[in-house]
Amino acid sequence: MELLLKVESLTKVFGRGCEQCLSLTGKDGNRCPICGSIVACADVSFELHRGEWLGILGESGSGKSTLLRLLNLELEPTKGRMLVNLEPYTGLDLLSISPYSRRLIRQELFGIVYQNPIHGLRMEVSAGGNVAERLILMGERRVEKIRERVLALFRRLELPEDRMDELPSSFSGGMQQRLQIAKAIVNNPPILLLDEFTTGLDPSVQAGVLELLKEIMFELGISAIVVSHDIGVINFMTHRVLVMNRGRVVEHGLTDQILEDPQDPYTQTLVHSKL
Amino acid sequence: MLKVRSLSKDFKLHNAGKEVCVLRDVSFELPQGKTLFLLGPNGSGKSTVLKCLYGTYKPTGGSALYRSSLWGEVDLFRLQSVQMHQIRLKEIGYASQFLQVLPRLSTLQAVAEPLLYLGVDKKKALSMAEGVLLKLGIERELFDQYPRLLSGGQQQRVNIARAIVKSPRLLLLDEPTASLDEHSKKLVIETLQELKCREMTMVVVSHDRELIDVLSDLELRMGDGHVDF
Ligand SMILES: Nc1ncnc2c1ncn2[C@@H]1O[C@H](COP(=O)(O)OP(=O)(O)OP(=O)(O)O)[C@@H](O)[C@H]1O
Ligand SMILES: [Mg+2]
Ligand SMILES: [Zn+2]
Repeated sequence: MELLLKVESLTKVFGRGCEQCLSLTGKDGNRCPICGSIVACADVSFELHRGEWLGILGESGSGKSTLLRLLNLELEPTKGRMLVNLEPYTGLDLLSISPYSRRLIRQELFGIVYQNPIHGLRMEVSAGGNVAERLILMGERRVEKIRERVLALFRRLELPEDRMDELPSSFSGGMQQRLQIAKAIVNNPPILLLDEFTTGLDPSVQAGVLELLKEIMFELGISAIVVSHDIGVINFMTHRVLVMNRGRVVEHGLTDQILEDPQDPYTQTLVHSKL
Repeated sequence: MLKVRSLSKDFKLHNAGKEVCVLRDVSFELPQGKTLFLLGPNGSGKSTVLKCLYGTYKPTGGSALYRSSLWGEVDLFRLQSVQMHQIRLKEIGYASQFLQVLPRLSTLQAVAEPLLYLGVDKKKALSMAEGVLLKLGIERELFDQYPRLLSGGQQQRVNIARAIVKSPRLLLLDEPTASLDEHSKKLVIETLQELKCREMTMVVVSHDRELIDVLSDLELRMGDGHVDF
């Protein structure tokens, strides 16, 4: 498999930080006893390959969402590098470029789906407009082309075409998540980032969204990073998984290995308590 | 093709403060195209051997030198997870004791899935899946059903179909005939015989005398190495 993304020592400390933040956290908690800063991600490194679906599993507060937002270039990291193997960016550390270019690169490389649709959708813009917006931002100006693409995505995601002009707030939870997915993939980014995107949905709706998305991910051959505390979702959607605790990766491996034969005490508790 | 040396497996259960030793010093050699049967009482660790080879369990010790088509000889126990993932996709088929498939995927889709991962186009994948299912006696009427609604014996054959559809070089089978009636069993045995003729290497856990008589080249009897500390 071809390497697509390489993440090195990605670290995020919320607060003013001090020399000892990293060394004094991780065991008992993620708050530095000296300066009071929160170490949300500490030295996270991993590789993502083309077509690979990587899970991030961990409990609430373990730093999963922070990691995803760092990857999406939304959040300024304290430390770390992010290299993508994709022209014309090969060899470039995405975290070293200016905030302005970063925004454009983010749109081109990543599609993201948030747990809370409020973060992923603009509620004052029509459903169709939400999806179109991203294309326009990427420089597409041909109205006909945009319409066509948005319509195709509405169909593929089983969204009602006749409600394209309504505001997303009138959509059900499952529809809002499907709309977020449409928006995330409208410009065919190589990497999809998913943050607990089914957590708020009731279980029957959840299954539908997961299966539809999986089908689409197959079709696109897209790579994905799937953040979840839900072992079922991780099992269903990922090939490999990183387990996070207190901002650290405590274990990583093939998904079935992590779920059936976890080595780390934390992972064992997590997996065994949920089975 | 596969050389397993001194495989051992302990489960360390940190919270229970317990260590369970399941495998001690398991060794065997398997030339290409041959079939090895793992025999032994319940709990002797037969399935554990398969899971260690497939990478679902992390072995505690030992090595498994495997001649892969991707990278030549590799130690399955020491591969990075990305590489193991790739080897699995391309060249190892595994049918566990119980079917584990996706809730809303139809039977046909479930069997085609491993091919989609390999980049086979959807139409071709579905038609290959169809061929394998028919061969194993799963009728067309069942293709659109969800696998979990099938009978135990049907599920078992779907599981086998999923493992063999991509023609793996190494096939790991856990009790492939355990819940099958005579007719279905005959179909499974015929199918496996055919694969054997095509030089597929197999490791099989089974108590089924008929299956063993037809397919076996080598047998490894495992004691009850189950020791609690
Ligand atoms: N903007 C912020 N300022 C200060 N601390 C923050 C900020 N964002 C996150 N944190 C802290 O960082 C840690 C990791 O938070 P994060 O949201 O990444 O966890 P998570 O794994 O996504 O949790 P959940 O499963 O609840 O979504 C927590 O201790 C959190 O309180
Ligand atoms: Mg979160
Ligand atoms: Zn500090």
